[in-house]
Amino acid sequence: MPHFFFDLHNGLGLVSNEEGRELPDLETARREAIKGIRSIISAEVEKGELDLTGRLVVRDGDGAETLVIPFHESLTIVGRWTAPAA
Amino acid sequence: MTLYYFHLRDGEDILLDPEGRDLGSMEAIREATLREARSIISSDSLEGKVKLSYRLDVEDESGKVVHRLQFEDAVSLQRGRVPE
Amino acid sequence: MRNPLRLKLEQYAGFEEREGRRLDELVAQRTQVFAPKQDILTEGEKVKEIHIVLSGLAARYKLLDEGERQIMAFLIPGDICDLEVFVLEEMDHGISAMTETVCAVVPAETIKGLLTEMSCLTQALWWSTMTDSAVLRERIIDHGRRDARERIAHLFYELLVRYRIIDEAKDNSIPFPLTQEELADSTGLTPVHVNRTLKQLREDRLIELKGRVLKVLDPQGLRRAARFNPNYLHLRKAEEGLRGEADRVKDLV
Repeated sequence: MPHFFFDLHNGLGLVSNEEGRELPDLETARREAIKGIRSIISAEVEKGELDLTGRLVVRDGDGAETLVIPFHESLTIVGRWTAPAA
Repeated sequence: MTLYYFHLRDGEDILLDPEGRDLGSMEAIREATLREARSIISSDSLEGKVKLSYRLDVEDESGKVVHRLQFEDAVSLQRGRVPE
Repeated sequence: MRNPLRLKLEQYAGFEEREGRRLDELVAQRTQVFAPKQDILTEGEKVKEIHIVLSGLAARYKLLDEGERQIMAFLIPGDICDLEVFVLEEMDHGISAMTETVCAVVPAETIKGLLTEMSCLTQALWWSTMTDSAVLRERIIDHGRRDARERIAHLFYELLVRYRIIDEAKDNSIPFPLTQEELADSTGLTPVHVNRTLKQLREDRLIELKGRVLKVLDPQGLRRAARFNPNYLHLRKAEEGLRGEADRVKDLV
């Protein structure tokens, strides 16, 4: 099974993933990356932060950059709604 | 016991609080409202769909709105790009 | 009315008629009624008697720093509140009645005597304790792994299975006397969030929640929503497809 490394770049800097994971293919790696991003965002929101400026970089077994997933592409945000005056 | 009702608004729709909650102070109300918003946004993030257009209206027993929170104001939102 | 303790323990061990009757006698000796919100046991209390829920609903809870209550697990008829009295000196958490709850009260000495008489009872009680711990661990998994919908679906499905075991889930309807605030306390969510999640589960036609009754309209659908894996309940007999007692839950696990 191919090996992938997941590097997290966000407001706190770079967290590089030394070990990586074995996953069946790139599509699975992409799905796992998105799950991971959502989980991080979910935890940060509990503390009042919604930081969409980060990105997750997936590198292949040789260390080459294969996929870049910006945080803001991992979720959709429906914005402000203005009500008529009550 | 003073009951406050937390109604969730989403554009035209409203989800009414059927029970109410006993809260003692404005600070407690503000804190509870914030926790509510963050709890919902947090869970929705796991699913990848966040609605910042929600609004929480807190009403007292007479129906008067004593506090309001737009979800967008419940979190400090950062967009833009992290430098390379 | 049938003895819920016996119905529950039958999921693990088979009892001869004589042993079953001893269990029936056990819960008939002395009972105590607890009002809603009354503590059955308080954190720190030294325990000398075992409390077995016969009717109603109780909850294990801890008080957090700011007086907030974290509900850790629910106790339904057949559940034993405080078996750990044999090992620990005092309660490390509280147990409160959520609705009017009747408990059989049995002196620790009586249980000890019974254990020497009936070896299968020892195993069954041991299993009961392990399953209780497993139920608690599932609540820990909630955090960070399950979103709101999964948490509530999981709790509901687990309760359905447990009520089926004691034969109190006719038409997949179970007693549900909890407020949204109490449901929030027990799932690590907030009341409005619970309100919204219940609305979604209703709209998906998985449940009906009216008055103080929860009806599961679509057990398989609810199970999928919960991503429920029943192994932590250790329902050996149901898994092995044994007749009789196991039939009560076979379709759910």
